[in-house]
This record gives sequence, structure tokens and C-alpha cells, in this order.
Amino acid sequence: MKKRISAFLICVLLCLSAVGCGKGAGSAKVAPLKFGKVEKNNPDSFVASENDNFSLKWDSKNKRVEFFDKEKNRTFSYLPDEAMEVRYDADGYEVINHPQIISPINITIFDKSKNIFDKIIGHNGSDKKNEFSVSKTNGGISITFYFEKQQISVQVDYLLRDDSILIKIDPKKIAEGDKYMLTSVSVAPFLCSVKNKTDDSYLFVPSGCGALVYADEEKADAVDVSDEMYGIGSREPDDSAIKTLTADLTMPVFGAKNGDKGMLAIIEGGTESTSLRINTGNSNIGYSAVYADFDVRSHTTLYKNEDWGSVNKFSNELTTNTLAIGYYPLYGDKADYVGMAEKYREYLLKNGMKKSGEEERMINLEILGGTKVTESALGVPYDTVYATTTVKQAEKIITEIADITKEKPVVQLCGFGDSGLDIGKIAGDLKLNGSIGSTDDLKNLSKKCLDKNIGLYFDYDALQYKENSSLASFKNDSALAVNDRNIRLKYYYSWCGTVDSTGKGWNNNSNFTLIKRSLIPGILGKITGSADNFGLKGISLSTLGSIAYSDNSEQKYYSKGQMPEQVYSQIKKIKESGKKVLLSNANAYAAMAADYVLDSPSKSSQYDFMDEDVPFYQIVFKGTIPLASSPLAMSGDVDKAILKAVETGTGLTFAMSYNYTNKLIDNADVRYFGSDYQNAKSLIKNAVDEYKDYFDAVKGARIVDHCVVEKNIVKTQFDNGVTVYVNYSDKDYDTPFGTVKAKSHIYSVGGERS
Amino acid sequence: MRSLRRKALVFALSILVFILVLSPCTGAFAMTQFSGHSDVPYDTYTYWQTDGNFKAVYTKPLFEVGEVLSAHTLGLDGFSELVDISVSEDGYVYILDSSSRMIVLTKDHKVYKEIKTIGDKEFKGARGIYVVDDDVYISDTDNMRVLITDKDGNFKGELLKPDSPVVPDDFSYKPIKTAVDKKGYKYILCDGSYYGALLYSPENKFLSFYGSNSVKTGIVQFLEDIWNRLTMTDEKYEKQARKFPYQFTDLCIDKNGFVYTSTGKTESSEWVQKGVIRKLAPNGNDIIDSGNVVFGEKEVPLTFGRGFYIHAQNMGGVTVDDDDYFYTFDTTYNKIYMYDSECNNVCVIGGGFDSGRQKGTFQKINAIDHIGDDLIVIDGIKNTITVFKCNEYGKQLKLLQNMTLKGEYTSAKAGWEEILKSDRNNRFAYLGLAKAAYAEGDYGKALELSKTAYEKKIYSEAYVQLRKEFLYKNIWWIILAALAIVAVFVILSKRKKKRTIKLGERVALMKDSLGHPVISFTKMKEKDLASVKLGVVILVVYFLSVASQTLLGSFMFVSESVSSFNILLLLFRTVGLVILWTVSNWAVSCLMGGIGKMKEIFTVVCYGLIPMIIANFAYIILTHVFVPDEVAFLTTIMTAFTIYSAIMIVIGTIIIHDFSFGKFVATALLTVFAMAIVLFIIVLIVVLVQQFIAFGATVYNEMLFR
Repeated sequence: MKKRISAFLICVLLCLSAVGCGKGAGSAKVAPLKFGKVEKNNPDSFVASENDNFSLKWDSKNKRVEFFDKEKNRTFSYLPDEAMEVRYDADGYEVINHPQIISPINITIFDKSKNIFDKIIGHNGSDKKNEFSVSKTNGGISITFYFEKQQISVQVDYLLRDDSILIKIDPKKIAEGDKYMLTSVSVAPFLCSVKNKTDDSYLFVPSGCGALVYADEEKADAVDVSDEMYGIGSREPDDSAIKTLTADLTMPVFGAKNGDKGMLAIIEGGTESTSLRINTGNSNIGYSAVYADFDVRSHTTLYKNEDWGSVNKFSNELTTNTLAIGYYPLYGDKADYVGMAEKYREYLLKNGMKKSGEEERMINLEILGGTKVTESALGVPYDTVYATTTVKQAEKIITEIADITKEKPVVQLCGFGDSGLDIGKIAGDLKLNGSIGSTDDLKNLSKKCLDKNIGLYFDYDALQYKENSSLASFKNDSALAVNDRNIRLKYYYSWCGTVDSTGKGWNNNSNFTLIKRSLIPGILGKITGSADNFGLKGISLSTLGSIAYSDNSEQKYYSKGQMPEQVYSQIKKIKESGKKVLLSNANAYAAMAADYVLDSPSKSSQYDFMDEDVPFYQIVFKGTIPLASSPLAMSGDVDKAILKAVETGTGLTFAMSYNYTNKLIDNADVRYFGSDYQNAKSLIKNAVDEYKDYFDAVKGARIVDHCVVEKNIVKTQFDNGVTVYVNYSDKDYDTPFGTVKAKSHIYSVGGERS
Repeated sequence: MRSLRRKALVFALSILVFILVLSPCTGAFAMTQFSGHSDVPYDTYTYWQTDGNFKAVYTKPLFEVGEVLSAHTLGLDGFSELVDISVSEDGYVYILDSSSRMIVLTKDHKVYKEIKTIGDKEFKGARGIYVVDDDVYISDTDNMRVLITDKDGNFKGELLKPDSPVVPDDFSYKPIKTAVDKKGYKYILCDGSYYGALLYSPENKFLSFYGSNSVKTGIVQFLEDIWNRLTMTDEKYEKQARKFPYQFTDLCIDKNGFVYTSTGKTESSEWVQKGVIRKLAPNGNDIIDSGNVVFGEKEVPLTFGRGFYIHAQNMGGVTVDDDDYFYTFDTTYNKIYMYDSECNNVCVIGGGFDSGRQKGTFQKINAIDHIGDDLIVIDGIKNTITVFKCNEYGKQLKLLQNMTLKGEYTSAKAGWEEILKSDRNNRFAYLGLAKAAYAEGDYGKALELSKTAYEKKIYSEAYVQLRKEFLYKNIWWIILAALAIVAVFVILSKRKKKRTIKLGERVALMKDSLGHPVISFTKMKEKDLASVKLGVVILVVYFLSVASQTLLGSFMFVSESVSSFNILLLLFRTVGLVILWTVSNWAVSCLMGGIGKMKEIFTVVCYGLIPMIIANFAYIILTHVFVPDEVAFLTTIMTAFTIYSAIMIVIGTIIIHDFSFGKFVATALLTVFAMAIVLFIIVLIVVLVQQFIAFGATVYNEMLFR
């Protein structure tokens, strides 16, 4: 008997071991190269590449790559133009440039034994010591920078193109020793920079809709901040950083304007793995700069309850994505943020953005289906979905709004799935919640909307879930964190920085997760099938377009790797099946593939160093992809929020729900407080009465110019000849088309006042 | 017997599983960071007091971030640390920098004047500034004086440490804030002073200390004090650390001359801060009776981060506007809290904890003041002056709430309806409309609205009116119904006498025990008629009756919401206690020579619960008839039935154990002691298991981190 039991136990153990071995099968992970010897090679100056517009040259004396713009007869490099020249101070001494501004590369390393980070400025760590190797490549120059002390080497490729210069880093060519890990690399940090305290110069950062940073102030304790592209993904945020609301970096672009010269940087590869660093107003450096920091590894900070400590955990392997940043010199009136936006739009059009099949609509509705509330049965509390709007009520709303306004709105049905607006089963289990309506109700609604050319989009959460279903298991199908454990996330509330004021957040039940990246195509396929069953032509994927995250189950998904490519291709696939796709607050890679974007960002993170918000996002997409605002009734000043939409011709969005109970007061969805249908109806009617002609005039038009005429007065020009002045101030303002009243707008078509 | 036990076990497990499965599932909220939904980089919210707890509720923003001014934007040299701000009646803004600088801004926030000395006196290290009429008062902390100057910086006088027997010799005169009322009385707060403010006459003569905080003493402190007195020598007692009142952090004066004070914390060990804002009458009494009002966050188990780390709030200042709304800020989370004159929280704005890097968020709020409806806030680390502009919605809300507080309910009605359309979470609107409906005699509507707002007072007032109407309309029907019921009872009782329903012996005994406990329990003991089955049934019914009190009682009487209702706790409080008593009493009685069996003890206790069951169900019915003001009647009924239950249990226990009363008292006390020991052991085991699990988790985590 004993023998049998022993044999059985051994078999079980062997089986378990075999299961463990099989875990990584099919996803072989490649370790980084081993650091070898330092090769010093500084060849004589040479021209590596040349075309009609530019030439690319290695300057052996100054140990730098230089670009020559033939038309403008201008040589520039990765340091500010002024810093390229030899200068002398008042006493006749040569001005020594700050190492940071002449550094071609900076790296951040992690000391594994001490659990600390260190930032190495390339000029000090490699450049100055001649620890680099230069070689000519096909169409450019390749430089390998060696950081001998840290046992790290990074190869950077410089390539010349017709209108730009491309700088690339391939992680496969990064080598490391044993003691330090390379965590991030920044190339040409001061290529997009402006001299402090200069007029007509600014940095552009793509925070939310876009923001300008004027380097007009200089101090020793200057701003040096970093924000991750497309948000923080699947990492739990640092508690001390989540007390306020911020806007994600939605577009992989940044730039600098220096008088009539500008530089636009478009991150063309590895966008999702970058962070933008903004270093502004530093009196020691004398320049302000914005640059991309490329995260070469997945990273998370693991917090320990018992001693309030934390451990930084990195993936052993490097990401497989290649970082590529294109730098586009701009001149004259194209050197400003409008010129940058136009250039970026051109880039997107060349790279797959196509005019949407959906037309722009003035009125857009976010109808809130249901949400979980606690009820009691025989004294035992339980959670159930409370229908804030049933399908039949939604039909009534749509019909009434269409009748009142004579408009054909775009409608997003939010929270109509299995668990309402709350996270539950993935994609709402592809079901309509029973308390909200039946499949037949939805089919009827869908048919009516199709007949009336009303855009109806059913929202599916294809990424977040917390319950098992036939589509995804909570344990087995969730993406993996750096420590190979399933990702578990919580939503944070802003009051008091607690997870949840009632302490609910501490309950494991409130954890949710993100689907394994490799399963996204399958889930989207099923969503398409589900939409067919409901007779829907429109699919809304609000989370897919706005969340980028890492999944350490496969190396290619490290550091949010390939999220843009994956989302873009999947949206295209859905569209090929005849469906239209609507997204909310979409990142650029998703927006360019979408048919419609709701909740388009209308403000930046409003950091103290950001001086002005600009509608960069709207300039890029309006006229190609229809955009709509965030729900207007949430704003403290609805009139101002409408004017903000008028400024860019962005459609107006209204969140609405039909039923109300005071059990919704502490609902986590902030939209509920301002979603009263009757209120929304009257707001819509007033907006249509006042702005319909204007929105008709700018329908489908692109923005070709935008400027702040004076404080609180903004002028926007569209490509169809419409010009609008928006007056946010309390006083009337005289424009060439007449006086624009306080808190109002005036527009002209082809110079004639309308 | 074994099969019975198994059945009982299965039954118990089934109940447990049923309870666990259906116990509250705390669902995660799909809170998405809709950054575009808000005009400001923080959530604006308020608190609703619902049944038994507070809920943080999103609300429509009342303020937007107007301007953020800095030395750079004002064209000035950098600030050292902005410490205080004061706005004059003509809208000029006076800002105090700690490096002996006073900056005066015009109404449109342009620099009007920069003053570095008052006469020839520098005021480096000054921490307070106050403007009234044409005078500016600078609390020159480090130089131990209050400087009085005109708006151009001309020296007009100074207030030094008063030479008065009231002021102790060792009193540290370091003024941090000054305020002056319309009559010219000056109030000076000194750093480290727990005596309150120093009060000066209009002629600058020191009068007395004014309005100090008091030390909170509870029963524990009282007992501790007595113990110390008994056990310590006089010398030792004098030397031990004394508990002093907390000092004020700020003060301001409203248009009627009332002094508002803020105190950093009232009790450092508490997670929420009560009574930190006071409104003092000339005699120093708090006229808003804020001692029990929680200011700041209402529900602060400040579970922060991944551990249970607490950041207690610390109120750093206060200002009151001309409409009697007052604003206070917390220096821990850098949030600003707005209250109406009755201490109702209107909204919470700002934030940033210690890393506020966005416009409208802060790293260290040092002072706050108002310009009309707008707020002006200075940050001592960012050295910024932030203007929060009150929007039209905010102005309308303030106006309507003031109308409601003044009793102009019907005039405010239309406004509240509009507010409610914009913000369905607005509790003030529900209350305002409920009061308007009551005033208009629409009691049904008032009932509905006040219930939505979780407001019991208006609900009960409307209920009384509706009850009155109902009685007036249906009095004859009610009398007829009552007579009919009496008639039915009479007939039934006569028929019962004729044909006695045969009940089982045990059931009959249970029934009789209610009226004749002595005879019944004696019979039970003699004939061995104790019934565990019946006992269990009664216990279950008792549990249900207590649960129903919470869940089926009238809204006016219930203090717990469905979501906060803890069925497991209730189970322990009812069934658990009965079982614990039974086991402990059996164990103790065995030692004390008691002859009662465990099943007899259990049966006696359960039968003894019958009066309480009746009382509980009666309570549920009566809560739907009476209002809380008439609660004395209900309390009397409940108390009477509870006493009767106790008497039954005492009698039963004496009989089954064959104890004298004295012996019963002794065993009862020992039983309670035994119960405490059992509980202690249970807690000990739970803690040990928890620690063992935590140890395992730590080892597991360490392995992962390595």
C-alpha cells in the first residue's frame, strides 16, 4: 500500500513538474547580449549619406553626428544650434557647454545589488572618454556607445530620409554585464530644446489634447518630470501619484519652436515603450528640452505591506521593439504647433490613417445602461444591476432627440452588458443584461437606427474583467506582471488617496485584471460575432483604444510592446468585416483606425509648468476622423465647455440615463451625477438652436490654423474657408467679422460673417 | 442519535454556506479616469450622511481654477515662502512673504506695491497678515510683535507682549495670526499658546485670553487620572506630562463679528477630526456646537498605500465669506473644504497630497482667503497664489442654500429643481425641495424627497402630517376595524374554551412558560421536557426578528443601511451569545453543583427569548406607525419585554440548577467571566492563525522578490 501511495505521489509530482516546464513553451525569451570589450573608433570626418534636402555627416573633431539642411544652409545636431558654436563669456573665457546638452545619449541603469537607479549622461560616461565606435552604414551612421564602468553598450543608428532624420535603437544590439541592468535610453535629449528666457519659443508636449511649455522662467530647482506614453498600463500606480486627475500622453510626438525654426519629433517605433521627459527652466543648463526615454524592460514596483518598503522588479530580457524617432525640421509659419500637427497628420495619412466612413455629427449621446447596486433579499444583501436606462428607454431617448433636433446623432450604449458599467465578465459576457432589455429589443433598436442613419454603437470592454466566463478565466487568461504573477489592479479614488473611502478596495473581490494580450484577437472576433447577433453595425471599444499595457507572458509584449500595432490591426480587421468602430479618449494609434472618437481630449494634465493647452489632437484628426467632446454636463460651466467644442468644431457629447435611485450616489462612474435625461434634452435643444449652423459649416473640415489672439480670445481657421472666433472672456471683442460677445462665438464663411 | 447529530451538522453547515454565499459581495467599481470629464485636475465631491455612515459623492464642480500666480508671472523676484494672505474690502490682495516682504495686488491681480519694511522695521519670519479698513496687521512672529501699518507701509504702531497678571511670565509671545473685528477689538494667536487668542481693546489695551480649546476627557482618562493620584507621590504627579488643549492654527471674523477658529487636530489618536472649526460668540462659546462635527474627510480609516498607514488630517486655516459659507483647508492632503453656516459640507476641492504638481493642486497650503465668491489660496512650497473662481452654478447653489436656511423654501424651489437637473447627487437640492413640498402641504412628495436625501427629520414631520390626514379621513373605519378585531378575539377565545386544541406536551410547555415560568420550568425539569429542537426554532426566529428590525423597520428608525448590514456580526450577537452562554453556564454550574443539563440551559434561554421576539416584531410594526419623537413609548415597551425575558431566564436557570438566588448571581457572574475567557481564547487563536498566514505570505513574497 505504502509503495502504491509513494508511486502515486511521485507521478503527481512529475506531472506537476511537466506542467511547469510547459508554461513557457512557444514563447522563448531571448536574453540580452553579454558586454564584451570596448572598441574605440573615431574615424575621420565623413559624409555618410546625402539626398536633395539633407546630408548626414560624422564630425570627428567634435565627436558628433551633424545634419546639414541644404535649402536653409543650416547645420544642426543633437545639441542646440547656439551650443554648436564656440562662444566666449564677458571675461573672454570659452563657454563650456553643460554635459547634458551635448550628450548624444543618456541611459538609466539599475543596480541589482543595491536596488537603486542611476542616470548616466552619455557625454560623461562614454563620449568624453572616446569610448564609442563609429561606422558608416547603408544610408547613415551607426555609433556604439560603451559605458565601461557600468558594462553596458548601446548602438544608435542615424539614418537620413527625404524630410527628416531617423534615430534608431535596436534592443537586440544592447549588451550588458552582470551587475547593472539597463532600464531606459534617451537619444539626442536636446535635439528638441529651446534656450531659456527667449521670446517666441516653446516646447510642445502631447499631454491630453496638447500643451505648450514656455521656457520663460529659470531657476535652480527646475522641472524635470517624466510621463509615460499612453498611460501607466498594467502597473499599479504609486499611491502618492494618484491623488489627482491627469490626461495621458495620447500622441507619440513632441517638438520645440525657436522663433522661425521648429523641430518636430515623431516616435515612429517603440512608441508604447517610451516616456516623455520634460526638463524646463534649469538655470544650470540654460536650455529646456523635451525628449523620449525608451524603456527597454518591463518594470514594476512591488510594495511590501509589512515594512512599507518596495522592491523594483525588471524583466530579465529586453523588449524586442525597436525605438525609432523621426526628427522633422520645420521653418517659418510651419514651425509652430499647427505646423507640427499638420506634419504629424501627413505622417499618419502616409502610415494608414484613412478618412472615416462615419460622418461628423453635432450631437453625440452616451447612454448609460446599468450599474451594480446592493439590494437585500430577506435581509441578505446582494449585488444586482440596476437599469438606469433600458433598451426601450434608450429607443425613446434616441427618437425624441432625433425629432427635436432633426439631427442624426451618434449613440454609444455604455454599460448595457452583463455587469453594467462595472467590470465583470470580459466583454460583458457578450450579453445584454436581462434587467436592461432583451436581444429582440436591441435588434429592433438597431434596425430603427440603421433605417434612420443614426450611428448606434454598443460598448464592449475587451480588456478588463474580474469574473470567470466561457471567454476568459480570471486566473489563467489574465496578463502577467513582471514577476510572472497575474496582473491584479484596483481603481483608485481621489479622496484622501485611499483605494476606496469605504475600504472596499482592500477586498480582493475588487481586484480586476487585463486579458492576456495574445487573447485579444479572439475576444474581438467574438465581439464582432455578438454584434452580428444583436444586428449591430457599430461596435464601441472604449477601453481598447485608451489602455496600453504590458503582458510579460511573451517577450514581444514587454513594456507595452506592440500594443499600437495590435490594436490598429485588430480594429482594421473588425472594419473589414463590415462594422464601424467607435472609441473613447483614444490614443493616436487607435484613433487613426477608428470611425469615430468620443471623449476626445480637450485639455492637458494642467501641470504647473504647462502654460497653455492647444488643440493639437483636434488639428491632427478633425476632418479625417470625426471627433466628439467629453460629456458636457459634467462641466461646472457647460457654456464654456460648449465653446471649447466650438473652438475646434468637435461634436457635442451628452451623457444620459433615464432612471435614478439614490443608491447611485456613491457610484464610481462620475457621469451619473450629470446624466439626467430631461436636463440633457433641454441642453441639446438649446445647443442645436444656437450652434447648428456653425457645426454644419465646419462639418468634415480640417483645421488649418489656430491661435490665441489675446487672452481668452481664440481664432480657428478651417480648410473650407470657415473662420471662428471664440470669446471666453467676460467682455465683448471686436473681430474683422464684427463684435463677438462675451462668452460667445462668431464665424465667417469665406470672409463673410455668418 | 448519530443521525440527528449529522442532520444538525448538515443543517448548520447549510446555513453557514448560505450566509457566506449570499453575504455582501463588495463589487469593484468600473471607475475610469475620464480626465476630460472634469474642468479641474481633481474630483469635486461632497459627503452624504446615509443610514449609519457617510458616503463620498461626486458633485458638479462649483469652482474652476482661475489664475495661478507666481513671482515670475507677477514680474517679481522669487519668493522665499508665501505664508499668509489677506484680502481687503476693496478687493486688494495682501500677500506676506517670510523674507520681510509684503506684496499688494490690485483687484485684477497686478502688482500694486511691494513693501519690505514698515517704517524702518523689517519683519522677516512674520507669519500672519490681516487687512481691515486702512490698517494692515503683520504678525511679526520672530520679532515677537504685531506691526500695524497703513496700506503704504507707514508705521502706525505695534502690539507687544502685554504686561498683565493674566499672562503667565513664561508665556511665549510669538504672534502667528491677527484678526480685528468691526469694533476694533484685536485677536492675536501666538505660536504654542493653548490659552486661546489674546484679546486687545480698540485702544490696544490687553483685555484677556479668548476662547481657548478644551482638553477632551473620556472615562479612560478620568480613571487613569484617579489611578495616578492614588499611586503617585505628589512630586511625581506634578512632574508627569500634562495634557494641554490644542492651539488654534488660524482665526477669522465674519461680517457679524463672530470669530471662526481652526485647530490643527483635536485628538491626535483619532482618525477623523471633530470640532476643529469653531464659531465663537463674544463670550468665547462655540455657537455652532461643532464638537461632534467631523470636518475634513468624514470617513477616514485613512488606509493609504499597501499597508494600513494613517495620515491624520490637520486643519491649517479658515476663512468665512459674506454669505456665511466657511472654508477650511487640510495641510496633509492639501484639500479645501467648504461648509454652509450649519456645518454641512458643500464640496471638497483641491488636493495633491505632498506632490501637487498641477494647477489647482498643492504641496503645502499656507493660507486661504476669499474675494467675494472666489477663493484665493497660497502654497508655501510652490510659492503660488491660486485663484479658484466660483462658477455660476456655484453661486446659484450658495444662494439657494442660504434661502433654504432662512426658511424661504418655496422661493428656492424652482432654483433647486434646476440644480437637481444639473447634479442629481445634490443633497441640498433634495432637502430644499422636500422642505418646499412640506411648506406647500405636499407631504407625500416631502416624504419621498427626504427619503431620497436620507433626511429623517423632515421625513418624520411629513409622516406625522400624513398620519394625521389619514386618521382624519379614516377614523370611523379604524374604529370599526378595531371593534371587529376585538369581536373576533372574543369569539375565538370562547370557541377555544369549548374546543381546546391539542398541542404536543413540549410545545404546550413552551407556550405556558410565557405566562407561568415557574410552573413550566419546574415541570420541564421534573418530566425532562426540555426540547432542543424547539429551542433552535425559537433561536432562529429570534435571529430573524432582530435582523428584521434593521431591514423591515421604518426608515425613520433604522440606523443601518442594507449595504452596511453585517449578517455575520448579527449572527454572533444573537445565536453566538446564546450558545456561548449555554456552554459557559453549563461548565460553571457543573463546578458549582448545579444539576441542570446543557439542553435544559439552552431551552431555558431560548424560551426566555420569546418576549423579546414578540417585542421585536411589535417594534417593526410600531415603527411604521410612530415617529422618533414618540419613541419613548416604544422604548418602554422594548425595555419591559427585555426585562421579562431576563426574569424568565433567571427563574428558569434557578429551577433547572436548583440554585438559590444568591448562588445564581454568583454563577451568572462566573458564567460571564467564562464567556470572556472563551472569547479571549477564540481571539487568540484567530490572531495566531493570522500571524502564521502573514508569516507564510512574507516568506512567499521574499522568495518572489529574490
